[in-house]
Amino acid sequence: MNFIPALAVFAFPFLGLQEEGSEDTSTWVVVEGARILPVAGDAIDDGVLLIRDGSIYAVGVAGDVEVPEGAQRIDGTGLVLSPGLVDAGAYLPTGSTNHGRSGPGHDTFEDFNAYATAEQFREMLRSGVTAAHITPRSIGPVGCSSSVVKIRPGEAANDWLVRRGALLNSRLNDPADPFAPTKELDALAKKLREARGAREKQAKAVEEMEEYADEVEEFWEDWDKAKKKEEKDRKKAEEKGEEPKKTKYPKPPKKPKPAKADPDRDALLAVVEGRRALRVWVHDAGLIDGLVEVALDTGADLVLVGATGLAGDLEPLEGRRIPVLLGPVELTERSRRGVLQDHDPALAGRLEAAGIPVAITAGGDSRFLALRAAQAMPHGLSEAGALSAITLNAARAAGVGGRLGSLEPGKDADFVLWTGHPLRSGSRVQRVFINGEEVQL
Amino acid sequence: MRSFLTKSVVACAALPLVAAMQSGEDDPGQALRVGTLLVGDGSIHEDALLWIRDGKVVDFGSDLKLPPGVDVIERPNLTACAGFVDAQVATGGGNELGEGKEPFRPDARAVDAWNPASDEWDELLRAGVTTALLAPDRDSPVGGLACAVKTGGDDRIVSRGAYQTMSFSKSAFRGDRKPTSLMGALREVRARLEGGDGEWGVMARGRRALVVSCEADAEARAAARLATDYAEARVFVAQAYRADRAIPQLKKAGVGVVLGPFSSTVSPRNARIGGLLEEAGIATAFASHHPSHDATTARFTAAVAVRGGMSPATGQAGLGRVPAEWFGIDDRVGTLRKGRDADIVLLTGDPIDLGSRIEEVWIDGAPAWVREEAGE
Repeated sequence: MNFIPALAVFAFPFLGLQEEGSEDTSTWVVVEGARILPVAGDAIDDGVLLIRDGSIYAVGVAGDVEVPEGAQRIDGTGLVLSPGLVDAGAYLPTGSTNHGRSGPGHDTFEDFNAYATAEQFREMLRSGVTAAHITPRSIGPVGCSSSVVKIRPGEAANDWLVRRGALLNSRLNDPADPFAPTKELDALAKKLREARGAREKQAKAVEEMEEYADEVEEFWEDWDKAKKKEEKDRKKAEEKGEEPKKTKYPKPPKKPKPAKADPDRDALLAVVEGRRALRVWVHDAGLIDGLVEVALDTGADLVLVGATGLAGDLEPLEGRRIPVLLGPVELTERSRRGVLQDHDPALAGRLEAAGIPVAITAGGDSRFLALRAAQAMPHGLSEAGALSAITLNAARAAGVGGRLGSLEPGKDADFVLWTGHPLRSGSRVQRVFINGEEVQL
Repeated sequence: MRSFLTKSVVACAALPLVAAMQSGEDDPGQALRVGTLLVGDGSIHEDALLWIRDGKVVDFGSDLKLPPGVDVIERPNLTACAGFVDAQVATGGGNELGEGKEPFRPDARAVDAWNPASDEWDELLRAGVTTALLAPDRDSPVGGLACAVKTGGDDRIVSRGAYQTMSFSKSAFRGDRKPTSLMGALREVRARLEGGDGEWGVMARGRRALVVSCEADAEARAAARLATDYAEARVFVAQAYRADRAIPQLKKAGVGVVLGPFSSTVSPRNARIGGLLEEAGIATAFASHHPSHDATTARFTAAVAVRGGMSPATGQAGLGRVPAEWFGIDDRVGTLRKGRDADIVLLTGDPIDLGSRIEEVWIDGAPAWVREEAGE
């Protein structure tokens, strides 16, 4: 028998291979026999998905992955296994239906209602959606931050959280005059630049405060000295019967202004330091041009939502891996009217061809997510691209690409067993797993 | 006049030889060779020929023998199915399809507001819809006659009075005229059906289908009661986002369902609605309400129904055969059976899969829209 060395220890716990003093207490789950669509990589027929403690440990062809003894076995024969779908533009139940006055320091998770009708969440799970971005509503150019959650009805809200403050949201409306500089973009750029300055200001404030502490210490030393001297002088004067000399006490140092707690600034700082992507709802091509410039200048990572103005020209995004999130409006023809008249549903396919990550949202009803992605295919998006658009690229567009969206070692074991390919209408969700555990549908 | 002509053509088409004599010996027609032919009546033919002459389907089959002189157009990689029938649209209607102040107008005709020149019809055509039911607005309890029109070709009117439009949903009631409620509306409707004058009599005797827009489940149940009380009337409920809650009533009353439009803003309460309807044996068609929803919405709604448990065959029937039969136009459209109009969608796969791309749409045996090559 040819064991993968790392697993040998777990395979023979009963043989007393415990000289390392640790029994394997991990929970192992394995899914066998399914056709696996890892998204990151080619499909695997008769694949094996091995899960350790809720994370993916190995993905491969049957026979290539050594399964530890005692692993819980799940039979996927005849089924198709995909990562759980991610809706990067979901509207989950929140206390607020208008985030217009919420600043960057506010996070949509704060008013997310995980205790809304469980049925609504179960319908999402039944459609294969296991994670969603809590998209804010009605925001301005500098909107609020937002979080990504797993769909876990019945669990406490904190147990849903994948990443708090995953994104900072912004919405730039089309300028009335395409040649005039836009106030909204300027406002956003100003805030980001200020945040950069704020980091320096903050560092300076901390430095000043440290200096002040030293000065205070010195001050008390000097004060003590002065006190002693005064005592000495008094005694001396008493002996001589003279008036004591007036002692000169040191002046206390001036306290500098302390750095203030400012969640808005911290959120913007996270953006310019690349810890939180900037998600911008924008359509106009000129604005996108300007936005990319601002991002380059300030160091912000971008995610674009809508972006129909790119239909004519992908140049602003060329060579940059800026995810673009498209919704039903962008994927169908109807939107050609009104403000989106330049829009072309072929955008998804053209972005893919240019190497730009395309994500797709159902734009309100997450249950339609897979069918929306399929709808982009006749317009030129490949099947693999359409699947990635609702898994890996969607996770990237939601700022959680490192944890969700594909079946790779180290990622969360969130996956779905389907009766067929997820993009075919006749395929149905059979079983859903989150963190390696089956959820009730 | 037209319908007499149509009927005689249909009768003759059953005997291809006679039809050939009538239409002249000189033109043997043409044939499409396709990878898969979905006739629309449930039969599927692989690597099949579809023989078309004078805009009609002459015959089809995998081992069809064509007479000499028939041009064969090769589309071996494509699937052919009947052009879709969209059960309710307002395409090109602008504001011309409403008369909200007039609550009972059964003799108003949508065909009078039909604007064949509107470029909105091309959106439906590109989406594979070759026949659409243009209906009056749902701004009144009784809205008037929907017409069946083609989205392309020269001979576009299929039926001037395909169904009567009713609406029991909130948008049909307003404060500034009577009736202001569903109860008040049904009182009036019943009184007029009893009277049986003109269109009302036609409705009551089931000579014309009656499509009732219902958004809430209570409205669907009211439609089911109406269907029970007027046993001859042929009642269908449309929109029907909540039909899953009225299934026993709809089933008992023999009421069919027009699903949709489903979009990101309007969706079924229960995603399994398609499966539930099929299980109950309730026939289903699909509607887009284009242009307030995208032209692809009827097909998308069929895909939602299939994802929700409906069989793909039933889903496809709802995009063609079922509404054509309901609205009395199945002698011309809805399927590719012999003698029907050669309205054909050619696409890269099963029409129920949204990933299948439409390459060509034919109306009356001629291409009405052909996809441009990629890269233009």
